[in-house]
Amino acid sequence: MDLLTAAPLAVGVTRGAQHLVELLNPAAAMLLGISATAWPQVMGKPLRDVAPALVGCGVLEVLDRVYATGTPHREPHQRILVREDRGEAQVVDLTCHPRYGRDGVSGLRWYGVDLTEQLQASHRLEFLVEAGPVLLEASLEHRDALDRAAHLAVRALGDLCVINLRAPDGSLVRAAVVHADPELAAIAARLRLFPPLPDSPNHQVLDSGRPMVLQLQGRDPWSLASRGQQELLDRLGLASGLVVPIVARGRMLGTFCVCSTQPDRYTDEDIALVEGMALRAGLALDTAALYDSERQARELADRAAGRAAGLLRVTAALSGAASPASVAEVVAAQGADLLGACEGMLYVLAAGGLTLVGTTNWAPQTRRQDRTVPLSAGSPLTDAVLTGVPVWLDSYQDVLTRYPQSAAVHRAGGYEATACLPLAVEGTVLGAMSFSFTAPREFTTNDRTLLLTLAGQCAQALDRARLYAAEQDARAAAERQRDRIAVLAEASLVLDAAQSQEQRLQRLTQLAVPRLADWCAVHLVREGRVEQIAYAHSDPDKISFVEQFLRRYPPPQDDAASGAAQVIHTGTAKLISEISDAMLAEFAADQTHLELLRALGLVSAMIVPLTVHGRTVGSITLVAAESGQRFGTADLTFAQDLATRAALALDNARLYEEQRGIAATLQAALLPHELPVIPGVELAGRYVAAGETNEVGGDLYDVFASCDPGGSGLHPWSLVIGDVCGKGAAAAALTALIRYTVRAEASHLLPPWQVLRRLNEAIIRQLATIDARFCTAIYGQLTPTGQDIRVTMACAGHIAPRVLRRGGRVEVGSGGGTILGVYAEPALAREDAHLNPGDTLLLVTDGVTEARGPEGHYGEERLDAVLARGAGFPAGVIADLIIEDVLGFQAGTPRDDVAVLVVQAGCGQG
Amino acid sequence: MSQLEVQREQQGDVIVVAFRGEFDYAEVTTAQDVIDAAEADGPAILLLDLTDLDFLDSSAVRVILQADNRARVAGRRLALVTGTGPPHRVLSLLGLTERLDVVADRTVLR
Repeated sequence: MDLLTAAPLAVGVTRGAQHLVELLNPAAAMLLGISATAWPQVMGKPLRDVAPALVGCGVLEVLDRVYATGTPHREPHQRILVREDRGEAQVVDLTCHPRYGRDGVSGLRWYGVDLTEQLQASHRLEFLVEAGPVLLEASLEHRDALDRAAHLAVRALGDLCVINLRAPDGSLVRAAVVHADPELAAIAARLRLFPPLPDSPNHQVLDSGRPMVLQLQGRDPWSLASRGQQELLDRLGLASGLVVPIVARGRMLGTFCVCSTQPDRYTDEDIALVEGMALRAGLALDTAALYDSERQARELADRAAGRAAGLLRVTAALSGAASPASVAEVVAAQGADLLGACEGMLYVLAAGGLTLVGTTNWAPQTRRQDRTVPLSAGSPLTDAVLTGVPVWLDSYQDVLTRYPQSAAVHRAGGYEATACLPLAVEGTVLGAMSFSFTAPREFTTNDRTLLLTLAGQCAQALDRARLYAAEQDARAAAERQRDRIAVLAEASLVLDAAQSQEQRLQRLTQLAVPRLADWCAVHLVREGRVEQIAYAHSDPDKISFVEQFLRRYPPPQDDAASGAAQVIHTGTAKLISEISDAMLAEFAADQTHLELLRALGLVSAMIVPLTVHGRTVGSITLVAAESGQRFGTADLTFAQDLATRAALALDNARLYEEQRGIAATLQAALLPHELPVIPGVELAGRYVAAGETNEVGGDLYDVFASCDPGGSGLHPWSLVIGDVCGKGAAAAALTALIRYTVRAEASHLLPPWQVLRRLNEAIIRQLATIDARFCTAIYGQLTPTGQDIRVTMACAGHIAPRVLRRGGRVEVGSGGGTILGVYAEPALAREDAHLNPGDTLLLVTDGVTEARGPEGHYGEERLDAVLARGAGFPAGVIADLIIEDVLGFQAGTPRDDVAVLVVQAGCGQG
Repeated sequence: MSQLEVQREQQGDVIVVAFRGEFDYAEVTTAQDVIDAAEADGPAILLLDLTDLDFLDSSAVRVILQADNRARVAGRRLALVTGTGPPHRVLSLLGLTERLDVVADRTVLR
């Protein structure tokens, strides 16, 4: 709409058969003679009422016709009589198009291009073409024509012929002087130096418009003697003369004068003849003058047309300018070109005054401080801004008179004329523009109109750019804020994820680009050295470039100059808002290094320490490059916030990893590396630690040779499964105690209940009973006989053993007994199992039976059902079946440790 | 799945601490605090009502055993109501129903 408002062509949009105004741009209002005050009130009114100028000139008829027929129409030379007082008709090239609604033509839109100026010029051209045949013999070079006329005259009408022409100031100049006597011609020519004085008969003829016959004997009507030319007067020896006015189209152009040495030489017929010649000369003069003025008019018209086209070009270019700098570029370059100015400058009003944002000749050496002009009165530019009125300075002299303090600068620029215009939108001054010219120049109405139009469009473009920038800024700020919150939220998730430290940090860097920066790197202190652990770049292509770069120029690890090392050393964040070339040069090892650094396009950087419990363990580096972002203190605060979270998460993760490492090591120590190979017996053990825990669990199982396998052959193997109350170091200590006590006691080949009794004593000895850290256990002695396996077990408060018969039947032991470690005399239940080939003994901990899931409590019934499904499968498969079922029941994450021990009698082996 | 709720009731020189929900490793401190407070009030009988527990693990059993030990030292009676659900199953599996003072319900003490 701005473009429409500023367009130099008239645009109108109307609705309905009454042509109710919907839109009328200022150019259209001006064309229709609607005043600026009336303009806002025309909307919705019939065009006929708001623009009386249209009545009777045919425009309304054109509009009616287009509305009725729906056919577009162009009236190339539509006349509109706007200013009745001046009787001037505007001529426009009018184009009218129908607008279509749901029910056919709903209105019109029309455009008018003002052709008046061009048309006037072309009318003169037409006149010249028409007059051509009449003036065929007249040369267009009027001096030649006058000369020939004068020669013609002296041949027929006397001795001397002088043609005087009126100069613009009203004086007469001798345009042709011809004497019949060639010897006197040179002397007569001197008359050119002495044009007629205001009291001469020539002036009287001009005033009266009538011929005049002169008696010249003894007279000096041209005051030659008084001007020292008595000799000339004597030599010419004139006796009579005739002066006739040269008139063309009612205008006195000069006088045609013939003189003779004969007294009373001129008769009435001579007068008529001279008048005829004067008429011809007049026509020739007029033609020549017309030709000249036509040429000037054509130039003017061309210039006007050129300006209109130029203005359109500038308008179009301005509509695409999204920043003050690009507005300035358009105005300074195209505006100056349009006006023929040698320099155009655009200033924007800022806090400190007027800031130069663009100029035709932007000197690179223009220092930044020189680009700001303080807003105080006394210079043409600031006056234009402060008063809101353009300042027109026609020449250097004008500048010297009105702005003496600006004259020196003006002169130094080589300027003569200058125009300074304020740029304002709805009364708010946004800036100013100036155009300077190398020649003096009177700013004509046309010039001023053009410049004011340009200023108006420029102001609107600036306003648009300002609003656009403000909107962009607000949007960018909102997006940045949103991104940051998202980054923080995601960072917490990423950092807490169950992954290695490197993986988590890599994901953190990927999270940071491009939302926070173009580059992100994390350094950690490892074994006293600062190592880059992870980094990411918003442009993946850059990564390989950087890798090569780092190989060639490895960063100085322990050098205090290295940003990350420095920040880690001091524990203080570092913000470099603007990375200067000087910084790069200082950092660069050599010229190639410098070139590579420059190629990275680094703009801004910040490095924040990763600090936990006052100890700096690493740093995060964020670098802006391609995005052009400049980090400020707000960015640094955010980065520190991110680093604090990252550091805490890292520390937790480190502790967690350490603990888990210890737990895993301990757990491994408390479980058999591998189960022994027993002829005729298949064994399988499984252990799954509770999820989300980093503590040692309390379950154990073990199978071992009770004594030397080559000994008596009786009770050679022991098996144990146990479950210690609680977790962690204390539980692990008890688990270890159980494991080694059982192994020690088993070697004495005591009955199983004796082994557990001794274990109970050992626990009570070791731990105070009041501590009540108890355990449940089954200890058994396993004897393969060759055909079958006999297992004698003692149970202390543990889940009863199960036997899966080869045919699929499950037999549940009686279990029973009392927990160990609490009571001095625990009840211990004896349990015997007899496994035939293919039979399976199953021992589990309560992590199986007490498991809970969405379906509730796992329970012994389910265990038995799953075990039954294992019939016919080897020991390992049965163990896996149970583990899978228990884990599946708990949705994959056991809340308690789960241990399973399977003993299967081999099929058919010796 | 509910967390552990602990309620305390005093009936003369009997303090009843009733548990509801799940009593596991994570709830030991919560339960212990209530039991400690009850013991500090010096009741003749401390009754732990486990009837409404949906689950108890070995850590919970340990809390009970410790309370039992302290009661023996302090000359106080520690009684349990187990109901017939999970607490009964767990305690009997561990062989503790014969060792601890398990009563049928709270009214036994009146």
